[in-house]
Amino acid sequence: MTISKFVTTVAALLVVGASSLSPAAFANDEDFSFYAAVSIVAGAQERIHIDPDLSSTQYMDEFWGINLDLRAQYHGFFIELPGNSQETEDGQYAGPAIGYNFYNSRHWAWDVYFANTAQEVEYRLNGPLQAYHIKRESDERAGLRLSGYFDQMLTQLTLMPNSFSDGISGLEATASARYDWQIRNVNVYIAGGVRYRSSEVWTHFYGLTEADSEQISLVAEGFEQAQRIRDYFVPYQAGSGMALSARVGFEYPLNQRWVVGGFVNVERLPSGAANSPFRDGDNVNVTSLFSLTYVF
Amino acid sequence: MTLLKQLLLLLSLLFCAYIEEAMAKDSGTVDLQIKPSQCVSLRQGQTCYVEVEVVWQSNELGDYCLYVQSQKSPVQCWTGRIAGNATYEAATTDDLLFVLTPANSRTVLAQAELKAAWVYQKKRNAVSWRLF
Repeated sequence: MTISKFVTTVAALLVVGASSLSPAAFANDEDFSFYAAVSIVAGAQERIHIDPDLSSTQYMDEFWGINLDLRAQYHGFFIELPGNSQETEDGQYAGPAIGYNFYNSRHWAWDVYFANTAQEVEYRLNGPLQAYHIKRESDERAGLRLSGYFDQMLTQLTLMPNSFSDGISGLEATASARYDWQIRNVNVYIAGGVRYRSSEVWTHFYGLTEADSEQISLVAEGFEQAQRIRDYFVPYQAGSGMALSARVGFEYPLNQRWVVGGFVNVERLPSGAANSPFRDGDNVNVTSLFSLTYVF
Repeated sequence: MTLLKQLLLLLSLLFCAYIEEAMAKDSGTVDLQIKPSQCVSLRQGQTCYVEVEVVWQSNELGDYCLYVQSQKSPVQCWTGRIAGNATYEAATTDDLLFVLTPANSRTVLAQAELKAAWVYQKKRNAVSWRLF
């Protein structure tokens, strides 16, 4: 992360936030709100493995864990850890965020927003003689978020032009919506969204640099198909594009504290990401998750 | 204090004790129980659905009716019964009062409340869901 860039952007956004202070900024009934929940989650996620003969294998990777879902707001300042929607790098990812809610209308809330928009990604290449790890730093961004609250629907739009992570620039923008309905006390929802990333962002996560390509050439040494591997892992730059997501989920309250839930999420990557040597043309990620949540 | 005054005081105390016992007996003649006593929805303001089991018992044979407070017509009435039970499909956003009355009046003999509860408050800034 470039510290000077971070400081400059934070200062600029704080000026925007402070200059927008108005009675509307404190439209919430209470100055402080707090929500916290802990979930035990278990699920499965589709992953990809590329063999030395360059054939790719898709498999479901089971996982489980404990998630903290947190949201605290004091006046306009808020912090969010989105918990259940937090997944590993290939799935849709909603990371921790802080921000300032500077304007509210009947249905809409405007926030200055800093979020971890993508987790660190690691690619591991195992050769007969040596291994090589490619690490891609997580992406922390600043921008604006607009949230719409309606009876059964929640919508969110984000525009995140500033990245604080080294080597990433470009733009990320998202639009998502969730619609809920009840079947007795079971809440069922469908959600969908698009995530636009410019070429720089997709390339950061799915591209291959000259240096990486050269290192992979060395790792390939000793494989029968070393030349084929070298030809496959040539430098790659991803174009800009949109990832599409669709999700079906449910939540059911066991009592005032315990909620069971689950969802299935399907994500379709843009061709720029799917055609990366790391993806081998696979453009669909499926994630399913089941959770048991305690709400404080 | 004369003997007469002492006697009058004693009689007064006995009378009060009798009245108190009679009142207690009277108010405890009908018992009304519901199960469950709470209905939990996910969010504040949502309609909560629950099947409520109602059981009542009296110490006198009689004609009784069960009402849900918000409704004019009874859920069920019984004739010449000392006890009864009923099932009620509740769909409510608020607390719901179940009341047992004599069949010929709306005098409350016994009551029980179904509490409406929820997990998440309706407040906008309590929403934490995000897709991205």
